[in-house]
Amino acid sequence: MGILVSCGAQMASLIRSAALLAATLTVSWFASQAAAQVPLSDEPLRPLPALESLKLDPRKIGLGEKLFVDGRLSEDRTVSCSTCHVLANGGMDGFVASVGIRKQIGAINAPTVFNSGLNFRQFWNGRAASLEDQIDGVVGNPKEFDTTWPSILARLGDDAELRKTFDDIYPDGLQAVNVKDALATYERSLLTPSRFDRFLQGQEDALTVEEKAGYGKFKSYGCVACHQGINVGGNMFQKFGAVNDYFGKRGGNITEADLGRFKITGRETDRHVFKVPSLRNVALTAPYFHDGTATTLEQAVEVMFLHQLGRSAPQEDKRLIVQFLRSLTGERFGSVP
Amino acid sequence: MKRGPVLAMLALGAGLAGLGVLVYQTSKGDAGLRAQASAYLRDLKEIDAEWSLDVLRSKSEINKNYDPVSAPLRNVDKIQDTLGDLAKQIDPATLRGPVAVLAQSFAEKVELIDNFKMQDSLLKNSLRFLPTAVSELKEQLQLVRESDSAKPSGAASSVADIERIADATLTGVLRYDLSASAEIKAEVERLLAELVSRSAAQPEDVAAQAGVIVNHSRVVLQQKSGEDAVLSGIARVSTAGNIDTLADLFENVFDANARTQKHWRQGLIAYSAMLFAFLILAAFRLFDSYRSLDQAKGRLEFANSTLEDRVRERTSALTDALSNLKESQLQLIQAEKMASLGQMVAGVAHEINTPLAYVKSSVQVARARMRNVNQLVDESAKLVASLRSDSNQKFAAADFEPLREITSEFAETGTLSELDVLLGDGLYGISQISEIVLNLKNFSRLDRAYNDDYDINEGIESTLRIAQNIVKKRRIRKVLGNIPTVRCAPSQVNQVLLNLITNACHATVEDTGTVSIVTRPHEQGVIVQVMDNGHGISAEARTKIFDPFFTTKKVGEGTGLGLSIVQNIVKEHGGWISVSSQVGKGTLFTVYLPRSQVAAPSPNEPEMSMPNDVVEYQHQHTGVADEQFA
Repeated sequence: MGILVSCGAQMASLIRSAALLAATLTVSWFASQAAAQVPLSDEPLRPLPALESLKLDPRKIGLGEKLFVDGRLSEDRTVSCSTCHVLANGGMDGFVASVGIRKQIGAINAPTVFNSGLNFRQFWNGRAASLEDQIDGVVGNPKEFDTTWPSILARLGDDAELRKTFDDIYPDGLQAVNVKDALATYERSLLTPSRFDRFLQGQEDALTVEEKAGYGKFKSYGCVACHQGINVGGNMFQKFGAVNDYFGKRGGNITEADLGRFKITGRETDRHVFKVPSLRNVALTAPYFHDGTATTLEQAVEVMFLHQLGRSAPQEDKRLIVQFLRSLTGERFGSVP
Repeated sequence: MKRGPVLAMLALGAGLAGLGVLVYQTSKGDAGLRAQASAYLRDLKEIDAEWSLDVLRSKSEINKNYDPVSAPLRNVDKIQDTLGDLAKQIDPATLRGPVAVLAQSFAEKVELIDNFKMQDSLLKNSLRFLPTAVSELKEQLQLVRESDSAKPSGAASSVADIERIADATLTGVLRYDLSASAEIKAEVERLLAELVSRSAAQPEDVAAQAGVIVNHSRVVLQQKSGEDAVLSGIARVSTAGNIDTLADLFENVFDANARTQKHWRQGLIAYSAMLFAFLILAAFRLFDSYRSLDQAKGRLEFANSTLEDRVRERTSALTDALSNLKESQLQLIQAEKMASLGQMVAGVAHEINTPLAYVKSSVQVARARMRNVNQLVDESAKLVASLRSDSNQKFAAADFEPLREITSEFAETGTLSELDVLLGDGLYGISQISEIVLNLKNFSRLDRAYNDDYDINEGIESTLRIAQNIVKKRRIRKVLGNIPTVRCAPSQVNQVLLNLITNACHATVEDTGTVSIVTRPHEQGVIVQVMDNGHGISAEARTKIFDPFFTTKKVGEGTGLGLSIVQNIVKEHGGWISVSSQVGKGTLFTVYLPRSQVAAPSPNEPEMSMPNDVVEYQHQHTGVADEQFA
């Protein structure tokens, strides 16, 4: 009896030791793996967060995905979010200015919806503080959805199945605030991790030599002064034509859209000031700038050098920068689980 | 008695409501709102302080990008929204203002930080680029110098000057970045102007490069002074102070609420004590009430036990009273009968008096005449005696003379024929009297049974004769139909007829008064209608005429029982009586008597089903237009 007990105790102790050993081995293996890929910590650009870390409700993402393509959000049921933010086309429509309700041409180039949740404000002039507010701007715009929330809710309310989905997710069911929440949650999930993100995470061979060289030029020429952070832009305002006047050179009339943030604040210092756009997926989102005047990435880089950096650069350097910019294109789009 | 319980319930309800209010007010508390508010304010203050630090970190390039100075935006907005909601919930009057002031200061700060990013990025680019730009210029100038070696030294010195000015500009700009003074700025501006003018004479690329240097130098000058203003603005903007103010106000409001809470609690204790005292009082009262209730119950039980005896006593008393009443009623009816009889007897006496008078006078005259007859008889007897004694036939003329005188007087005065007339008259008078007596007998019909088949028309005739002394002064119209006999008590029916006819006569004025009497068969019986063109009966009186003792006649003229008895008699016979009248025009009484008393139609029916001929009759003969028949 006594022998049996002591034997059992020895067995237990042995098992414990084995488990401890296994755990230690596992930890050290992960540590060595981590050592192989040291994330670049001192860079002005930062990698995208993992979608899981955002802790978004998958049911809301699913609902938002449906609403995103739902024409009932517009007065005549012809226009949805996806009319201008075409997911298969880099999250925008490829037009100089978008075509809204009743074939009306909008005033401005549509920005991409991808990674838009990382922008510090929404719209070119930053008039919306959040994605939710941005939806309000579209809903009431006579050239876009040209409708009101009560009529949207009436149209959606006819759909019993949709109503039930809302009831399942939100305690107060189908409400304007919940429609916006679902759409915004879905949009926040639209992250596009790229090769460059893998590079930042320490995977050195994720970029080609030329792209890496281009990244170097991007930083040394000062592009990175504005296009920095997690979204390679999208976290500040800047004057278009900071060093050399842009609008004079462009010619043509100064439109309301050209006024930029001045239209919101009325301050002279905000004239021609726009939100610095994110450069993620920039290779997909031509034409460029709020006025859609640059049709190629090369043209856009040229304009930036002249008006924002106020300097010239060898063609080779610009080519390398463009190469780098192409590496910002996502490898996965619409990362809905 | 009834308001007691209601008041008690109200008092109880009010008491409980008061208690409820106090408990609610006491239990309200801050429910963790205080902890929430202070946590949010603490977070906000930390974020705010960290934000300002991050601006400086970005400025000094410790932060490699502007994410740290952009990320707080969302959090600051959210916390402010939450604080706004809390303020609305707790004390909007006090807190709304300071929340708005805080929001305003944050809006200022956000704007300053947005400007900072714009300026900082441009400033850094230009500062970083300027040395490169200057060295590029020097390279270009070197090329110029080499190609111009053959030219006069003036050109070379000019190139050297440009180099010197470019270097000085660069130094000046870098100095300005370290310490943005107006002196340095003026110096740099002077150098820039010189650079532009000197390079104008040089080849195009040199002039262009100089222009780039000028551009970027100006960017530095402009952004640097702007950045200084922005940074001092960020340091000055009073977000932290406003957060503290708001925190203090939140604390004050919560303290005030806690004090109020304490007062409510004290109030609750006092109120509870009061309610308790009241409860004890109520309990005492209840006990008292219970005790008196118990006593009352005892009394009630005793009363119950004696109740039956008392009921029995009262019942017998009531029975006695009822029998007394019935007796009185019978007496009254008897009295009415006697009164009718009295009237009738007066009439009958009058009727008898007239024939009696001339019977009397005839007999008296006849008696006077009888003296002559006696004398005749005496003389005749004397003559017969003398004739027998005188056998020799010696008639003395003197013996015949008185007899002759008497007979001639008889012949002369016609005494015998007169006697005959007188006796005839007497006999007539007697026959008159006997007729009246017969009528009386017919009328009273005491000789006939109750259930007799009686001809109402006959009853009307005899009644009219009995009431002769009243009737003879009115015009009487009779329309007596061919009616069946009625099984009834004739004396009672005659009483009905007499009453109706005399009432009709009394209602009219003598000489002009007209009383119409109509009989006709109706359903299973006979209708008798008595109409007059008299003064009529008011609607008010009409509802009462069948009530006992109701009369419109003067005291002593009527008992007020006549129509009441009439109604009783008619009902006892299974018939009905109705009246309609119009004041000033006349009155119509309608009596229905069934042939036998088995089935009596409803008394309400006559008015509805009055045949047209009767109505027409009324209009034609009496002019009575009654609303009930109209």
